[in-house]
Amino acid sequence: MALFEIKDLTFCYPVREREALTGINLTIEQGEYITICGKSGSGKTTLLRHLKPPVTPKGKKSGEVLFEETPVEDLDLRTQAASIGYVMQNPDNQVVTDKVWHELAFGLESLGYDTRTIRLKVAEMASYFGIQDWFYKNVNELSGGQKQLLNLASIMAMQPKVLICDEPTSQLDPIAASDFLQTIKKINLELGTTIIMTEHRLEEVFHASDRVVVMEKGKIVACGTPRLVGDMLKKENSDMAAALPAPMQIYYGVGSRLECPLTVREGRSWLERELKTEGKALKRDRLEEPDMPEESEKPAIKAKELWYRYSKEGADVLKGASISVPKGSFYAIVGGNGTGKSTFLKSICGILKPYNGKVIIDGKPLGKYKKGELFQGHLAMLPQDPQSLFVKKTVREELLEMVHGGVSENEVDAMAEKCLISHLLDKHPYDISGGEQQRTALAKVLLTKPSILLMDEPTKGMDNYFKQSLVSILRELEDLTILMVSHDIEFCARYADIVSMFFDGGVITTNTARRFFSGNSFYTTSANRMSRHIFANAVTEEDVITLCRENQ
Amino acid sequence: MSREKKFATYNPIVCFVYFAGTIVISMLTMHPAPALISLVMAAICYINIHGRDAFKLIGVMLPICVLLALANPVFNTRGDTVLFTYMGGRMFTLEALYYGIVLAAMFVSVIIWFFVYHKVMTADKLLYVFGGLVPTVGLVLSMILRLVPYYGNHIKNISAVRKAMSCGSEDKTMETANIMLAMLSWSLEEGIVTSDSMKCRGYGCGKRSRFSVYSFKAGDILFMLWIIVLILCIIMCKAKKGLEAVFLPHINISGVDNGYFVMGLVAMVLYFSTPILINVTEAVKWHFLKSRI
Repeated sequence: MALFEIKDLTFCYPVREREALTGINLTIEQGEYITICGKSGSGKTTLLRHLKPPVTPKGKKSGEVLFEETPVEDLDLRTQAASIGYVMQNPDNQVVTDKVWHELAFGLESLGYDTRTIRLKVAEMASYFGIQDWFYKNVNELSGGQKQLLNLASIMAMQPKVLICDEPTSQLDPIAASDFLQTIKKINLELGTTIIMTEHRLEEVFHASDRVVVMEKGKIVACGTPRLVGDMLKKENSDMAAALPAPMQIYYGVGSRLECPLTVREGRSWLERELKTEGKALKRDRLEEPDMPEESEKPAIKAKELWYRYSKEGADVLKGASISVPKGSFYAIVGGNGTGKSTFLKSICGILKPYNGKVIIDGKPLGKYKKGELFQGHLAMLPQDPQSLFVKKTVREELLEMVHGGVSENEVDAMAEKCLISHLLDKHPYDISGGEQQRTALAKVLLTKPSILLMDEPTKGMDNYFKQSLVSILRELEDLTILMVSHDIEFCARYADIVSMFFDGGVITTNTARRFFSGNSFYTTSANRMSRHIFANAVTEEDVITLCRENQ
Repeated sequence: MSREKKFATYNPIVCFVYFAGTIVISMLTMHPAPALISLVMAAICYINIHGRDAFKLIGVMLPICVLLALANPVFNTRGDTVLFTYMGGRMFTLEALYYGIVLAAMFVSVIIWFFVYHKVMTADKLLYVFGGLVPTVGLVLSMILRLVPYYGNHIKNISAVRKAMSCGSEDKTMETANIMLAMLSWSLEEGIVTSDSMKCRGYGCGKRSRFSVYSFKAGDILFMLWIIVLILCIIMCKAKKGLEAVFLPHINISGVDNGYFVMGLVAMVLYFSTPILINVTEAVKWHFLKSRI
């Protein structure tokens, strides 16, 4: 008996012309691990929501979805709650109560279990997920990764047969994300729970999945084992091919006839066999790399020995952090969670005041700028959460808010055009997708005409396609200096000029992107990890492909 | 909770009853002995629970205590023994001063007990005590306790970001209104997701049960019995007029010659010192246990 059977499902949101889902047929067996991928807006989330009645959107629907041979809409509340688990994207707003232990018990309380049973199940879950250490904590004290793990645990406490995850790691940093995905895999392997997941970080889930479903414009365009789907995407030259894991992209880029590698480990041995490296010198094993630019006389941003702590008795978060950002460069700061990267960024733009140290913007100390002068034409900051920028009812009003002193309405339209949001101007900022919100926020920030742009995690929750459009917007702006804090190694490797590693409240090392990442052995791109035993400094997929071709 | 603070680990209901008893007893016995005991024990207890920071409060409370004691005879001139006269014959009497001292001790001890209460009875414990009466209210309170810091954080974010963009109006009221409006739509948006998440986890599919990390252990029952016995003793002492105290116009208070007074006094000493007794025994026990590790 199939767990889920989706028959000819077609769905259209009210007042929309285009169907969000068209003729979906899919059978999901007990115990499968299924990954659904596709560009933003391809209907992944809409499909998942049809599997769980309380979150199913209203609209015109035909076809049916069967759960163990019963139509899902006929399931009673109790059965659907207990047997279908649903984890959402944002770790924050799924949490209901204030204490970790209470959150774990929430579902079981709803199902009316007695205290003794709940106590046992909560204890089981806390042990299985390693929550004991923060069992008594307030939910607000948890990190994003811990919150998402808590959401997962509180759902698993009800022992569902199937776990549906809608981009569960999009708001997490890479380490927390990888922990989360490993837990999911463990649940699938050890408990036999069926997993249905949408995810844009394919690197981590592709090889773990039994089947991959690719969606495009509301239709399933490919469905099968990871290798099969890879082949199909390659053959059709689909946009989604750019989202495949690095080893697969390199494999297709080189055009090899061997078996396709899915992981870095497989990629390494594939590369050896492909290039027949044994006992033979390579024609070329390194790419040219630009030298580190000399420290310029007048850098756009110079921070000297910044020290900061949040409270008098607290620990230092910044411990003598210094940086010098040359004019016109794209500068990235990478590093783990809680090392003080965001604090550093906030100190540079004056939101936080370091108790010691100096910040010089465009050759003038931060303190010498008059009120408001700094943020008109000099410095702008794109916050991590674009929603914190939105205060108006429409995108247009949002942008018009910036119209004062030197910014005209024509410029607003031009900026909307540039940031690809012209078609969204009359929508409410909360009604557009995450990537569109990010671009609206960017447009709003850019309207202050900054010469220096600070960005805090600009690629969080974005798929590859949106990342590319972000970069092309930024590239069009000449003379813009960008300082970015990011967890996204692949993004930094591909687009940044200079990269710094932040650790323990200060900058540890700085180098050009290529030198930086080829010098690291853990904190680097998968393309580099896959090829570092053969090539000296290949960092992106394209680098590896180029070098492979030259050596074939 | 560290081992030396054992008192706070008892079941919140028992703790709540204990504090209710403490405060009621302190307020209803206008007698120098209990007032003094209550004051001293409250202070020791607060120091024990709060550590060195407790002296800040006690440093503030002492002058208040003295001031209150001295203020009474200024407003109340009754009493037989005149200590001195001032401002053209206004009397300052010993009895009124004495009454003032007792009153001040009582007043300050109740305040310090409230501080101890506040330290021990955290929000989630109160929730446990009262949530049992109305489960839905308990859940709503728990949700509010999560949302207050969560919203606060977002407000901070918005205003920091807006400052860094120097956008918005110069007028502070307008700007606050802007931020509040933004908060409104944001919180509604968040609320939809939260309610989805609740429904996904079966909220509303039948009668909810209530889980809590607290349970009644043997120690809690023992503690409860201890409280009841001591309170009964104190009530009996009061009923048999063992705690009579008349200050004005001349002092007449029951003393050690009254058997009921002695019983009540012992009961009160034991009652007020319960937290400290528990914590100290536990600390001593822990000291010996630790030596075995």
